[in-house]
Amino acid sequence: MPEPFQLSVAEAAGEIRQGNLSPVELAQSLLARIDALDPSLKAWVTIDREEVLSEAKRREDELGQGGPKGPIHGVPVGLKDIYYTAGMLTACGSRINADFVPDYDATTVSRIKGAGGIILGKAVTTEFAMSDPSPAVNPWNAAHTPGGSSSGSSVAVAARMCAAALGSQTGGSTCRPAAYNGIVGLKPTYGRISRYGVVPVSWSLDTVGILVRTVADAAVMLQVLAGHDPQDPGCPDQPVPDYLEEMGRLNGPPRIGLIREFFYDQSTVEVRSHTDAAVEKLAEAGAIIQEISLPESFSSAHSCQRVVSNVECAAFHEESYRDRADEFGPRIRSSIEVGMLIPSVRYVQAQRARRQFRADMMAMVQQVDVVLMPGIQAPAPRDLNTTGNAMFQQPWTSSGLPSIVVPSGLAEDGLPLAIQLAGLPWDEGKLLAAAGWCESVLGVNLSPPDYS
Amino acid sequence: MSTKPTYDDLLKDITDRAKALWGEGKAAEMTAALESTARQMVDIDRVMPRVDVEPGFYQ
Repeated sequence: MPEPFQLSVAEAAGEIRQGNLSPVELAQSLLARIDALDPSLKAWVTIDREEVLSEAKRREDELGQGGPKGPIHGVPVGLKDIYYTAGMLTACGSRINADFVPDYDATTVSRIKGAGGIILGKAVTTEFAMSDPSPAVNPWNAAHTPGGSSSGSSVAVAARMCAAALGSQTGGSTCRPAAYNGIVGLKPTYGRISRYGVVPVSWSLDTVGILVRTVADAAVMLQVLAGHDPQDPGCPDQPVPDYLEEMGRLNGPPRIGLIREFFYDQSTVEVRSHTDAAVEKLAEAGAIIQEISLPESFSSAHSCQRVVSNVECAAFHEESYRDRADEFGPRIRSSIEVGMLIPSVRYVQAQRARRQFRADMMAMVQQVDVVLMPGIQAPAPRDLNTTGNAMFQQPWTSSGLPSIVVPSGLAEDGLPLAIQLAGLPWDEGKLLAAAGWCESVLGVNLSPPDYS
Repeated sequence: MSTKPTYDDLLKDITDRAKALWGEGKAAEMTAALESTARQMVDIDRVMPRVDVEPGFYQ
């Protein structure tokens, strides 16, 4: 067996179930890994070692008493530092929330615990999940951004400091850092996972994101997290299938709609040829590739996302801004200020346009099993003053359709590249099945060389 | 003739709001952000859905 810290969620949970690995050993291995790497990678903001080890011991005892509580029994999971954790600091990378300790757990945190998981700690986020860069370091090359806003969660998973972490996506904050760090990022359908107890950027856009190293792990984590929550008005009572079973249901290679329009126009030559090579490999393995066109409403999708995000961000932070404007970072402050200026009619028109856009995107995706495009325009930029560009993720966030990035290889500069797939709302099963198939055909499993 | 507000109309509107809220100096500092926001609002207006399409909010 490899070192425990190297195991995926499914592998670790399997070893624990079979009695080959104890939750305490796994927690100790991850904590030692964090001790060794985090001084240079700066992925974590809060870790309560005693609590982690005591929870691991409790999970170990439970195994002897009644067996595993759920599919991730004994597996530690990281949380972006915007998730409410009862009794644990939730600072949101901000001065405003520097001392904030929630008195309840987010629904997602409760579900992780209910499935036997262990909260490993809080991962670094950009300030309030917006675009002022965080201190987290890209493990592939420290001179390049790790992306954001789920920067610590992505770095932690890529550097094997945990097998799974939660992020969030309002624009591109799960799938973009996942792609920059060479891991799998899943942004489910809007409303698939409860946002209750997740500090918002924008209520109508925010989606809980999953950061892992394999598509199967994305399925395992989605199984734990998905489902109706009456505490979240955007989280409806939709049936939750067995995602691992759904992954196995793919009858042969998928029908893939390749979207070159816009995504190729905005990509570097290297990304275009890399994506073409990946698509060719998928076609050789039997995928039916069909190039498809974007709807007309796509042309305003990014603008809708920006307007809605800024207005809702301004509404959420209005009170803090009034009293403590100088304590906000420059980019979130600018978003709040712009959001305060946008006329209400423009905001509502953006929401109407989004509804039409969602319908148009669904009609487009219905032609195939999933659509495919490059995950990022270029590898992570060599610029620590940015978190990169979210333009390849924003349309999926704005339409609420589920999307996933899967590592597809390395660029000439040694940084990860990825493909992105998207599917129909509530049909993450098919999306995961197609993504798992692509993952297995491409056969890319990335690990940052200095941290392997 | 189109009755939709133009880029210039929208930029003037939000610039006036910025001046009223925070003064001329701050509004001038925000020029790039205001221009970008006005462009976004024009973009949205350009492909508006039919009149019977309601807002999405919770998609």
